[in-house]
Amino acid sequence: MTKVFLIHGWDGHPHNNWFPWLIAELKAKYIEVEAPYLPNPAAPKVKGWLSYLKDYVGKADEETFFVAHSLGCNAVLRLLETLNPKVKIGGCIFVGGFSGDIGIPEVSEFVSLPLDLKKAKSHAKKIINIFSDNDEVVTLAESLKFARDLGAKKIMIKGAGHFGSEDGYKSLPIVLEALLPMLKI
Amino acid sequence: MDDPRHEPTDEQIKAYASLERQLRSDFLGGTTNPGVILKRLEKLKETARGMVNCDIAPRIPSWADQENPIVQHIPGGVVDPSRLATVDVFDGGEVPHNNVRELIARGQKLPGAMNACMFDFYAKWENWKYLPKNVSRIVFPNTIFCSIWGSHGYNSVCYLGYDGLSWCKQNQKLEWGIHSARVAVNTSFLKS
Repeated sequence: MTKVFLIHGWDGHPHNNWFPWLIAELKAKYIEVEAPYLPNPAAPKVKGWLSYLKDYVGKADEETFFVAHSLGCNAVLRLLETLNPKVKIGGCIFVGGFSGDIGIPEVSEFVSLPLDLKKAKSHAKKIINIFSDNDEVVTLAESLKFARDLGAKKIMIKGAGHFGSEDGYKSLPIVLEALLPMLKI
Repeated sequence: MDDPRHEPTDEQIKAYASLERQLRSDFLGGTTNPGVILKRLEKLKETARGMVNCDIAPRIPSWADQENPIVQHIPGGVVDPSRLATVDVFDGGEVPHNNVRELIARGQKLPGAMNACMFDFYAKWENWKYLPKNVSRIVFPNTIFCSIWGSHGYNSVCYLGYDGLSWCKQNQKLEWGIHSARVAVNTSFLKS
């Protein structure tokens, strides 16, 4: 059964930014959606987030999809990296994602601990990276590199910042537009 | 499993003897400062073999506000760590998505609910042997920490998460949620 997991970012939670809107949109289409609260969101640790995600997501398969924002993208890739070599998930939509250093000490562990992007991306049938040209958290160069390293389809939204509610994003229709074809719905 | 109460180490014997000497000397010398006596008695309790003193302050996590880290810490007595049980405070019923505040409220009502002293104890790998294998997350509701982040502060509770191989120290804000969490209680307090 198709299941979409929404993964929040640093100091985030499932009820901020455009997550509530996306949850409502998916539920309206009878698509199963889960949005966990990751532990210690303000001072996250790789081990803590990964172990929580592994348990929360459980058995992933081609009907498993991820939509992640910011640091959540890094966490999803770390989860994919741990999957059995034969396991493939349906796909990922990353929004404002990164894998390199973005200069925030609180998330430094996520960019300093090794992450095998090649291995991680091999577990996803499709990856789409949505980014903007004026993101103050993730530079345009980092966004482009992130998409390139993942072999992801790139979607750039001009002037969208980091896609947070403070940037005016209480909804983000581009995510739904990208996700629904991936779900074959 | 080794019985932690089997034999005291030389170090424990030394610590116990020293405290006993100090208390005897206080008593014979007529010392009346109750603070000093209580402190020594507290230390004496800590020397009890294999037991964990939950009446002391917990370790302050790095993420907590270092000036005023503790919002609430309910003393838990001296606890036998082998008498751990975990309780589903929602009793298999519907669990709200942002469930932490309710989980803490219900957990604190349980006799023998554990505080962060036990969290600190069980978080050490050598003590994982006491933890159940069929539970994903164990919350210690009787200590609430404060953390200041940017301009806002928030309260959090500690819990241990199990990924099938290892236990991991975690925490969550009271306003938010923990999936499949159970509360740690000392079975000495549970009615049969």
